[in-house]
Amino acid sequence: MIDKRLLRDALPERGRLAAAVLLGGLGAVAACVQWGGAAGFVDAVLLRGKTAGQALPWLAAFALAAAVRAVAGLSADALSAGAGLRLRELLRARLARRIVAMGPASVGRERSAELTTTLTEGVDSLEPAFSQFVPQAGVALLAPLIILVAVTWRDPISGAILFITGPLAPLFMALIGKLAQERSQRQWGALAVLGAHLLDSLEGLATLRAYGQVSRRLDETRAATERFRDATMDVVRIAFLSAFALEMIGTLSTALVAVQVGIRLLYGRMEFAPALTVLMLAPEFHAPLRALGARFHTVVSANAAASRVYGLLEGPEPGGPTAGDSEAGPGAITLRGVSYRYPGAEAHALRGATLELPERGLVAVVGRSGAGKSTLARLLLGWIEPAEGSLSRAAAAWRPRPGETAWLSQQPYLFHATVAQNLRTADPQASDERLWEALRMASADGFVRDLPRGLDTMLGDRGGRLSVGQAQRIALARTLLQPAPLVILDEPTSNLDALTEEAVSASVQRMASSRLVVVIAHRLQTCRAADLVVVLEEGVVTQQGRYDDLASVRGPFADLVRAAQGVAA
Amino acid sequence: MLGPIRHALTFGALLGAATVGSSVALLACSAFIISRAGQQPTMEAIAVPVVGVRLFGILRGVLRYLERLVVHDATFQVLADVRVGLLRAAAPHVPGLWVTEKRADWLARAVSDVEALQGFVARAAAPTLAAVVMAIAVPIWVGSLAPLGGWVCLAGMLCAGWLIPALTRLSSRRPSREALSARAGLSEAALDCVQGLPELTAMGRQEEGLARVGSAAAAMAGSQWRTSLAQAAGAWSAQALAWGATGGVLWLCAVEASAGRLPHVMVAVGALGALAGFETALGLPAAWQQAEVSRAAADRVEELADRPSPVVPEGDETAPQPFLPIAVEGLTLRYAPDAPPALDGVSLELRPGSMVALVGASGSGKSTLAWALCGLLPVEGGRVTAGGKPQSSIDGDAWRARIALVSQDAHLFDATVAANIALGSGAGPAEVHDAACAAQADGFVRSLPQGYDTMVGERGSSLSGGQRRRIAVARALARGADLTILDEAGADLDPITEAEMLRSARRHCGQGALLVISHRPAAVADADETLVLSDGRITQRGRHADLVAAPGPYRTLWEAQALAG
Repeated sequence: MIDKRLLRDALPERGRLAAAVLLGGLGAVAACVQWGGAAGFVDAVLLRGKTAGQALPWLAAFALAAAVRAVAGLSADALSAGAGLRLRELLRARLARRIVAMGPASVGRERSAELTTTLTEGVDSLEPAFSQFVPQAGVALLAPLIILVAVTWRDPISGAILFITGPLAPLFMALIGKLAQERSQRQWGALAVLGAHLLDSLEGLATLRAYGQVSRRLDETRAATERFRDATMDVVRIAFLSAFALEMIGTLSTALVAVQVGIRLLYGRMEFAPALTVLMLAPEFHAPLRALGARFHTVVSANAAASRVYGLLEGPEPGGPTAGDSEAGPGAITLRGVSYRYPGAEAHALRGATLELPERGLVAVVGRSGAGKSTLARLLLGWIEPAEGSLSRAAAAWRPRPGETAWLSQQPYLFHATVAQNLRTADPQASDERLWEALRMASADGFVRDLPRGLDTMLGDRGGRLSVGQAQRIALARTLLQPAPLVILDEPTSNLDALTEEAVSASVQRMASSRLVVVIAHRLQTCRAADLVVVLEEGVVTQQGRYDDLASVRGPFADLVRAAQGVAA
Repeated sequence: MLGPIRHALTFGALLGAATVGSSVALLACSAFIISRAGQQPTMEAIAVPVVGVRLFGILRGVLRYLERLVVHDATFQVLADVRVGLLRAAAPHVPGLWVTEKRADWLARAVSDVEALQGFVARAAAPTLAAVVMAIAVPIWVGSLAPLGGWVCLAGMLCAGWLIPALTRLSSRRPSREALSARAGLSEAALDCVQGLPELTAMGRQEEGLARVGSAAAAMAGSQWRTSLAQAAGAWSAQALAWGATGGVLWLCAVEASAGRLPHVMVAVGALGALAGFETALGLPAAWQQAEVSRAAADRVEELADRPSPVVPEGDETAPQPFLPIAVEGLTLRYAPDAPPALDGVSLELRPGSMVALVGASGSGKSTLAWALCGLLPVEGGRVTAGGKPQSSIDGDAWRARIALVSQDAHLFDATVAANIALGSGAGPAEVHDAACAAQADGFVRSLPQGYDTMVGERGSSLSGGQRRRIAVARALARGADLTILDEAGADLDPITEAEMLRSARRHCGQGALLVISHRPAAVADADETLVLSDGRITQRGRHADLVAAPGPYRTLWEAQALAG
């Protein structure tokens, strides 16, 4: 019923959860005293001719027991809530670590939004199962037993009735629960689609407006929501049916007790006080199970979320980047016959690449889109392992250690943090002067100075109020700050303006005097400045050498140059 | 928002009250049977209550089931309205909203608040209404047995259903507000960790990302712990009150019976009936808690809906035929009253078959001009006319139907390639193919696993940047519009592909006008006119050959690139 992996993961908090269950048992004992007291009071007044005042001790017992129940209940709830929250954070930490271990190469291909949702809402929806269902399941086992003993002691026949009707409830619950679980999986699917649809509409709102599609999209949104409503109502009908069945079983069992006790009273075969006690305890016998049933939905949604969470946690070992261990000293990086093919792709993204990258200097990688430039970058970054061939530095396999490579992507990501914090991710010890220096080299100092709080301005969603070019320049500054011997720049200037581009290429060249800078270049200017130009065509290195040598011979590079000059002419 | 479901909500609440009413009757009947039987009368004396026990027992279950169905259905009706209403409210504000407000805040608000609102009807509104009904009915009935008992019952219900929730609310107000902002913090940290994973990995700072997720999660757990504690304390003290009131009613009924003003059999009947009647009041602390969360969300959604929408003056006339030329005269625009102008006296003309290029640094107003031409930004001064008719006299959608824009952040929807290209034109397969060819997209689209039927993924995530742009260009070309605007459409392309794309796009546009925004003068060298924009002002204009001949901003831009050749 409840995902076994969830139960297994609840183990670290078993002490608190067990205490909560025991407190539930104490509550059941108190309930017996409470209703025994109430029955004694009525008995004294109704049949023994006592005044209310004379029967007061019975009422005091009732009140005291009620107080004990309330305190025990509150303590149990507090314990369960704490345990649930702790377990949730344990799982979240494990999941986050797992996602990080999968590495950018595989996370990038999956939907990162979906992973983020699983990490936030997905893990959140596991918590109620821990804090509400698991302890209540214990109480639902213990409390009815205590009440059954008390009822049997006061009246064995009523005890027998409860004993027989009791197991009917969980039986029904299991039968109906199975049905609800299938439905719930469908609901989760519908919910994900609906959430993605709303976000898709919101993000594309400007495009929708420009293309006159807003009202049509609104209709689609309504339709999608209606579909969700139908899916949910299906689940709800079943889920409520199980609550209905539980309630009916409880009611019928209470009615059965009430009627047979009433008839035996009528013929003088039973005392009044035990009769009333038994009548009041009959609902208490069923209450824990009913409460469990009311919380069953937490299990249904937790199980659905669990399949996503555990699917990630227990999936195949991520082939993510393994941090390098080799103490390989400085030296050129050598690629020998390196090939790579993405899982599921037909063609190789890179085929038999053999290259010698100098220890320092500027290497420009050119080629049309899809030629394998990004794959080469990922291999150098250590995010993917070559299928064939090898990468090595100073005779040791090239496995970059954390921070040993710096990287600037086409669409750089800025963190939800201040400008300074974003920059210091690359170099935590950097002084403000160093930050400004890096910003200046990236031509970002001007607008950062004009930001409301300068370096301490918070950056939001992918750069918040910054323009694409500004965000890119801050990301460039961040890359410049990182003291890595290998820097990889993926089209660092594609969204920059020509004037800024100039300044940026200057900083790139300065950087190349002390380290190896590999630029995935679209500008011939970059190639001209490069110490080595690598030309890629459909995954194959077709040419490499200096700009002048390549441009003066017939070949793919000369074609590129001629075409670009043709454009310029 | 509850307007359309007023009746469903009332019906649901009445069903809820009737459910609890059945519980009261059920327990009262049972208590009567036992009490009366204890006096050992004849069988007839308890025959009616025995029937009552069965009737109310079944009724309670059925009513409860119906109540839940009615209330949940109402919830989902509201949900559709909330989602659509939000999109409708937001539409007039984009794209200007993205300039003045953080997009993430806005998206997070929209998505999570819609979820928070979902719980309002079922968990706050309906239970409260039902509790009000029972807080009137039960004390009156108990009062008819023991007058003082009625008051005790009413006081108990008010305390349990009103005073305690109010106290709970007071004590949990801060934690629940903290929980909301902690949740936003967690979302940001999770985004940073997942979407920013490539950066974190490259910098070797994965541990830092994980630590941020951990501390954001801990902050959220802390405030949620305080919220659940307040919730549990409220619920249990209300339960204790219910028992206390039951004891009180029991005592007072006994006093009445001792004084001979009440038959002895009614002592237990009144007390147990009162106990059952507390059920709705006991649900109130949770209902108030939900109301608090939902209201905070509703406030934020409403704030957006009520924000004055930027008024773009538009008339109701149809677009003129012919639509071209389009004349822009002295266009001035700013995003906020106190902000510097984003466009400052811009004039240009777009003639049939012409290509006009717009170059300039980022933030110089190029994209703003594109949006303004589409009539999506409110203009402060100047005018735009098409075929001699002012834009302000023409219906906005009719105006935009003649224009195709590829914005800098052109959004691809999570649909097939073909559906994305056909958006806004309803183009058939042949036209989609033609447009894709003209945008230099046909080649790579054919190599995709399902060709034109390939899903592009969220934000076109299964495609590269350059591929996304070309799909967006194909979408614009498929419209066959009079004016096509390409805003940095070649930014992620290599210069060869960009030039090829622009040439074939121009061919495809035929007698339509083409406005190309680019930061690469080389790509737009064969434009009929090139405008250089700087801080919202046109600083230079002319043909490429003339512009490079004289010193000026354009020549500086050009030389930076010409070095490459």
